[in-house]
Amino acid sequence: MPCEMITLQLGQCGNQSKLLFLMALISLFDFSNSLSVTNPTHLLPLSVGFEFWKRLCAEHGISPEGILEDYATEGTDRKDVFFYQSDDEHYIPRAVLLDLEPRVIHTIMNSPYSKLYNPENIYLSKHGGGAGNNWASGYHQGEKLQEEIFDILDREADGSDSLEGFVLCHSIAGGTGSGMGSFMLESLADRFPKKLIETYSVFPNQDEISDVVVQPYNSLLTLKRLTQCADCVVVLDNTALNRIASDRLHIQNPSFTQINKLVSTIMSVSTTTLRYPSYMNNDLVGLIAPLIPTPRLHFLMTGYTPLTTDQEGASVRKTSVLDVMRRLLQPKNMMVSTALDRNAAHCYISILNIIQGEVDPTQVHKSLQRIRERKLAQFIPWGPASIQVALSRKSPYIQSTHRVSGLMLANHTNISSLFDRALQQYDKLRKREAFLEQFRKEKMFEDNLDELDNSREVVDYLVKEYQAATRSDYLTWSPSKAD
Amino acid sequence: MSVTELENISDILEKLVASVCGEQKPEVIQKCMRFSLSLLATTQGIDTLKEDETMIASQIKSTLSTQDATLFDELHNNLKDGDFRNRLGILRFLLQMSQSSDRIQDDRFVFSEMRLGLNIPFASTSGYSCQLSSSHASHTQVPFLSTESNMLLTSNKIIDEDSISEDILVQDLIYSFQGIEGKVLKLDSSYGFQIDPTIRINRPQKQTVLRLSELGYLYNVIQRGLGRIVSGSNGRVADSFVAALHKELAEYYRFIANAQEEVNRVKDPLGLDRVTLSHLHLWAYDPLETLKWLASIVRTCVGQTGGALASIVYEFSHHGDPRVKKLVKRILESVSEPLYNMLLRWITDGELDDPNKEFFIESCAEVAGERMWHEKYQVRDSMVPSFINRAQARKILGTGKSINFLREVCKDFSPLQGRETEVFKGSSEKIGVEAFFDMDPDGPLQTMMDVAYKETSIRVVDILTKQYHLMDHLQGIKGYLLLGQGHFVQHLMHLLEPELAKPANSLYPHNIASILETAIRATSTKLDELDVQKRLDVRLLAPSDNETGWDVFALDYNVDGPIGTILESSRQTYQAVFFSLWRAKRMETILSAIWKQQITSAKMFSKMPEILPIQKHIHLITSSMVHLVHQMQYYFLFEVIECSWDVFAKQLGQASSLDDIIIAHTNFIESVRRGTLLDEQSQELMNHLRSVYGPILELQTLEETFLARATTEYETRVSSEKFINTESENKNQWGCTKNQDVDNVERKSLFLKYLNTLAMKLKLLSRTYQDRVKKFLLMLASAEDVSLQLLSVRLDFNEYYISKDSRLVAPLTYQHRRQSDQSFLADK
Repeated sequence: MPCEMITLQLGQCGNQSKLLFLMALISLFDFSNSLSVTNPTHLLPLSVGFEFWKRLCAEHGISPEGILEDYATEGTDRKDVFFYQSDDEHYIPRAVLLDLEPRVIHTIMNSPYSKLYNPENIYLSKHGGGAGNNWASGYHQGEKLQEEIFDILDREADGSDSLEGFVLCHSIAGGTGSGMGSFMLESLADRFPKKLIETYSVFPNQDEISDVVVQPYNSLLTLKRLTQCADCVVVLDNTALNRIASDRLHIQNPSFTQINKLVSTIMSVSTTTLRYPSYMNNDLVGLIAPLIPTPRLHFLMTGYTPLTTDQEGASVRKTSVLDVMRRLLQPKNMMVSTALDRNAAHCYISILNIIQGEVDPTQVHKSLQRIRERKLAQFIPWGPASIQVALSRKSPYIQSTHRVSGLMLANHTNISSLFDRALQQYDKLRKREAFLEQFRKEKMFEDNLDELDNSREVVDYLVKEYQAATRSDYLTWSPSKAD
Repeated sequence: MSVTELENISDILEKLVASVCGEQKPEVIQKCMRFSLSLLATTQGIDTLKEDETMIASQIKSTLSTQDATLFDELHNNLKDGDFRNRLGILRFLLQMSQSSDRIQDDRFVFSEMRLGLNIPFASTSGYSCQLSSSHASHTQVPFLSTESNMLLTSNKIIDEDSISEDILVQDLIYSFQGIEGKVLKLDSSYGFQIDPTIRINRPQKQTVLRLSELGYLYNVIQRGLGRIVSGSNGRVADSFVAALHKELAEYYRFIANAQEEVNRVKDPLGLDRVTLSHLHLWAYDPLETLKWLASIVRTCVGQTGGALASIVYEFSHHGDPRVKKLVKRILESVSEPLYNMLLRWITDGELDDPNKEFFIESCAEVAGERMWHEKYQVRDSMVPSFINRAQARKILGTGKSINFLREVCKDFSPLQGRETEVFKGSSEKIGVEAFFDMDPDGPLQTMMDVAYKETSIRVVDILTKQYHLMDHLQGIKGYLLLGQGHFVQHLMHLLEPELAKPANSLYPHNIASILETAIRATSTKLDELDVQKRLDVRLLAPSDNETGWDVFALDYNVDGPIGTILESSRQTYQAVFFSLWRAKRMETILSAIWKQQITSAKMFSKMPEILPIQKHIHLITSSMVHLVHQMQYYFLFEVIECSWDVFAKQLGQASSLDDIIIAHTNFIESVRRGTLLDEQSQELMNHLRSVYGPILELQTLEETFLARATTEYETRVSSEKFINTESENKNQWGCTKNQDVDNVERKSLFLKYLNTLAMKLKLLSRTYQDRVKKFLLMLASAEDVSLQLLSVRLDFNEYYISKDSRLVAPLTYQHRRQSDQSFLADK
């Protein structure tokens, strides 16, 4: 069966969600725990791995031990995209967990889902010291561990019939996810040049002052790899997620579970057409090819509606396809916080709406007409573009209160404002030559800081290319000509 | 009648008697008066003058000697004690025998007088009875006087001298009633009767005779018609029609017999009570009416059989006259009887017992299998009785057809449910044949038929859905032939790619079939779909020159048995739809491959800036093609197939008979065919869409060669760089000879040249492609179908092509849109 995906979860971002989930559980049972979290939103990198797999298990009817539930034996879903079966028919995620410090992975191993993973695929750095939030440290540790890691990856790749690509979950701000993640991106692109690499990358919360003082350096260095090595980056902006949690869901102090839930929803829905095959978009290429016209413009925003929480399930809206599609175009439902649109020319390069639920295809058509008439979405002038719609089946095992729900994957030029912000923060820090000692300790920066300058250049080009994409002469634009 | 009027009549009568009889004794006049009055008073006008028994007895005695007279008295008394009611007749007979022999010669022997009391009352059923009073009812009658009768006779004889006797005419008429020629009435060429021109006859008589002779004509017509029907010998309905007619004629024969009897009976020498033409005229009134109707029915029915005959008879039953209505109903009942029995057998057991092709349902014995439902049984239009409308006929057809379908095709021999229920129990006995042609919508027959229809139909639907898994098959077709299972199709295409790239005539179906099996096995998640999967088959169209496997490959779905009844006829359409969808899918796969190669190679070639513009151009062309192909596919798959499927599924849920299912399916496949631009009107569009696909294939070859060239160039560069580096290190000098340098430069310039020509080619390709897309959009926008106009809008959602081509604006102006909106609303 073609189109398998191997998921890599890197560092806290990839794995911490599990920890945070457990912490929430602990507080629920009123255990006193030294790991008290003063401001959860600050600590939260993202919810990626654990919630994602938990949700996949629930959607496919797989128990935490990897056993297919009785009610799920008749399913027509494709579990083999993300799972494979062991000799005793257990479902095992095609997942590799990597971390440089033991804390998070240990908590996973103590959770009910500990038996789900293939223990061989959980790789923990032996010295266990972590990357100290230092990109360079994470990168070099990755370099050192690459043989062992690629043993695991090669085994997984060989175990699949026709591997389509890798999914990488990481954060761009910390040490492990960004540094080691960057290294992994480079080596994956090198070793598996024909495979697609999709990442779910957590961008740091801009509204908070970060513990990690070198975050701008980390971000910039990672962004370079995301630009050059990844084929598709789904941007998960912590700023926007927290804002959505507080503004849209009216949660005063958004907990990890809630934000985890949001993100795992986005991840699972964005893979739903792969797992519940229908007419179209049944592989990753089919899903992202219409979204990404040129190789570097591959940073996608997401939006989801209706947003609800378990706690206050009282407000169930009436949903229709038009309603869902219109809401998806509203900036407040976007999971990326873009700066106010000063450059009015920003526009959509492409949009894919994955609509789930009881959908009458004729409604889709009417909604598109309406959106076009009202000019609710502005598109690029240099090529045909439109809102593409994928109607997807839903897991029969998860009950939803809403009839229709929708996820938007959008390629919008305005995402460059995020990179612009990263550049500005970097420039502020760099001007003062602040906190560079930690980096100079590592091999890459021993002699010079060229890598930083180079990364800045790459990101700057990226911003410029996005800006060029708003103009009709994009075809003739080239980075070398950029001013 | 008032007293004065009565007096008037008696005065007039007195004068009349006086003028006829001349001067007479007052007693005689009084007698005559009473006789005349009694004649007038009788309603039937035929009450005959009755003789007194005793008077005749005394007459007899007067001729005898006294001894004989006493003997006669004795015998007479004995006679009185006996059973004979018609003693008067016997006495008269004896009297006449004894009278002079000259009287006998013009008197015939009268049998009617010999009825010896077996006095059968006259025809009673049909209302034209003559109600002759019994002989001895009139003791009060005035004794007959020979003088008077003689006088009347002489007056008759006077008339007879110049015209023929009325008696002869009456007798002739009675013959003619039976269709026989007489002395006066001769048959003419058209079976009518004409008066022999040699015979002199006065005018009023002539008219009356001719009028009455119509009966004979009608009788002849009927007899002849019936004879032709019988000799045609075409079936039970005709037989029972003839029988019914004969039954009606029996009534007529009785009338003739009675008339004849009357004629004979009253044929006495005195002639006063003889049967006159007026009598006949009166008596014949009713039979004439009846015969007229019978004749016209027979006339129209000749040559007709079965249901058609019933229809004709039924037409007559709309007559307003209740008597005619009754008459026709009697005939209709017996005519419909055989049809009714056939109907009952048909709807209860599905058996067709119709050797003479009379029933309105016909069967074609050699049809079987998938075509059975469609062709084996048909409504025989000419034989549908007019009291059964088309809808009913179709229902009746459906009922028996369903039963046969269950038996023959579904092999379901279980007894039909509900046949033992009240409705069916003794239905034929309980519901008379009347109900058949009454067709009372609430009547028991209708209810029975409706129930039978509903039950058998639902049973067929049940068997199809439960035993033969109709839905599974339809889902299978939707999943495999209509690409519902996208991942299967993708995988199959991936596996087939090398095989289908070969020339079409070098393909082996079994190779492809085994690949198909692999694809099915790899993608199926459910084991119980096995049956569906086994039916999937590879079809290779007949290849022509220069065709590759892509041009001839199609998937097929084998159906048989009951499911085949629904699906078999659409097989070609499914194949055509698959073919077109498969082509679109292939375009998507090609573009995906190009996209993936471009994206992944972009990383590798980042060190060769000179190819960047080419890459970018390819990217942009690819992305515009991806956009079109995805939108087209979305349109075909969701807006056409999925929407049609939605409607189809809804109709299937409500279907209560196989016909409903077939109609729903036909509608479905038709709307899919129309939607996927495969119908006749869209042929141009489809051809153009194919030409739009052309540049995609070109791009594929361009991209592949480009990738190969670029890769070799890249690899040579890397290796030469490596070589230079190592050489430089080893020799501690610039490790590159002049020759190599020249080679490198040459190679590079060659590569650049290639890039230039490629750039030109791409530009050309892009222009061709855009032109074709623009034309396609224009064609869509000017199409009549609103959904195609909207598709044009969708394909150019951000008005990219419009901004490049002003022609495209026109069809999208407000004016144009409003018109199409109106037509859209009108469609709704």
